[in-house]
Amino acid sequence: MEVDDVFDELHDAANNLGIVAPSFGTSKGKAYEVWIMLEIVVRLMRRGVDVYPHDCDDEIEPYFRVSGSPADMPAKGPNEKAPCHFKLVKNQRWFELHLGLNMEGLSTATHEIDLSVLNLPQAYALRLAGGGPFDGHVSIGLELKAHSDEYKLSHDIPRALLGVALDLDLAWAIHSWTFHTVGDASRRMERTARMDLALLTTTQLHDSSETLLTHHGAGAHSLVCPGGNEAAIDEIVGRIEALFD
Amino acid sequence: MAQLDERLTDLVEALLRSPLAPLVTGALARIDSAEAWRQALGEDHDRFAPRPDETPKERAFRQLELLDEVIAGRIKLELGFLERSLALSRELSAGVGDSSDERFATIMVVDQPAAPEMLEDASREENLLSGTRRERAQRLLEAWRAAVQATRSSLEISPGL
Repeated sequence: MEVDDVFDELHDAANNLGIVAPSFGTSKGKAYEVWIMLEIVVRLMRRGVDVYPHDCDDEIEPYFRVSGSPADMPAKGPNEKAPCHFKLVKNQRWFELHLGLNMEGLSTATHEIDLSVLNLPQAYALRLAGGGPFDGHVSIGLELKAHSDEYKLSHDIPRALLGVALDLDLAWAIHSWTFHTVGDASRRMERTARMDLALLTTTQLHDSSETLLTHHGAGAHSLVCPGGNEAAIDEIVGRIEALFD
Repeated sequence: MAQLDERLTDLVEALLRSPLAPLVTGALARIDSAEAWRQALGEDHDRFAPRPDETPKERAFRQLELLDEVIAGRIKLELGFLERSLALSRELSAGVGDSSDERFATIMVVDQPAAPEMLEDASREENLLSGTRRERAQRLLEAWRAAVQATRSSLEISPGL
């Protein structure tokens, strides 16, 4: 093949892939998030959690849909253009798993959480009320970054993630506190129902980013890709499974 | 912005003129950060950082290897996501109740329409698990490898240091 033909072939191949995969190679690419989502729900299923792909009318949906852009919770009702979610059920406890859902912060700013596990009654109530950004309790929140073109993930991303956590829950950074009486008796109390936050990325993390996240109790997982650090996914699945206890 | 060796221009432009241009701009940004690496303090060594004594030809080879690592790596990662997601969706189908229902083997991106030229798929929405996507990603990987090899061969016989 002539050298020019080689580059023409490359250009044609790129054009043809771009037609069927317009999000490929962009920061809006959903393939990574979908893979993580499927790994989580299938691993939960293997551990005895009932898993149901549902549309926004809370019916089984075989043609699963995800939103390419951050999306509010859709209103309840038939809608072939609205993203789907998973219902997770075990021990008569119910949760929902969403991709790319907008959350409303205390500031009223909205923030997208790439993958979230939510309290089902609150999610269902929001759909019944006509939808919108979710402002209830987020049990698990994951930031997913397929940034393999970077040597190490930018420091900005973990910092921004902690900023989002604080806008969703002002007391998120507080793990425990101790009360003292005048007579110097004390009682230590720990937070319960604190959002479990983690960052998963296909690339490496700076040491300082890992330190920042783990100091504040957030997961910091690098090289999470097929055949890579899949133990991180097992850890996340374990945390979700603990919600059903 | 770091200077890309002009002998790599044809390779890069083949993708820059396509819808996959973001793939290349990401790789160029990686070259930029690698070439600035010696200015960063307290960080471990980036193996694609320039050596103080490298010749222009060695620099061109280094940039080519970095382009290849980023772009081929990205395509292979996409293929990996696709293969694994397809297998997982089939296992999910069996768990939900009907392993023969191929409808579960689709994940559609609802606000990301495929280009109007995509006439073979009536839905026109991006399907993250389609066979067409897999075939075209594989073809791109093969075309990329051929183009990198042609560029490498051209560099090897190019005159000068």
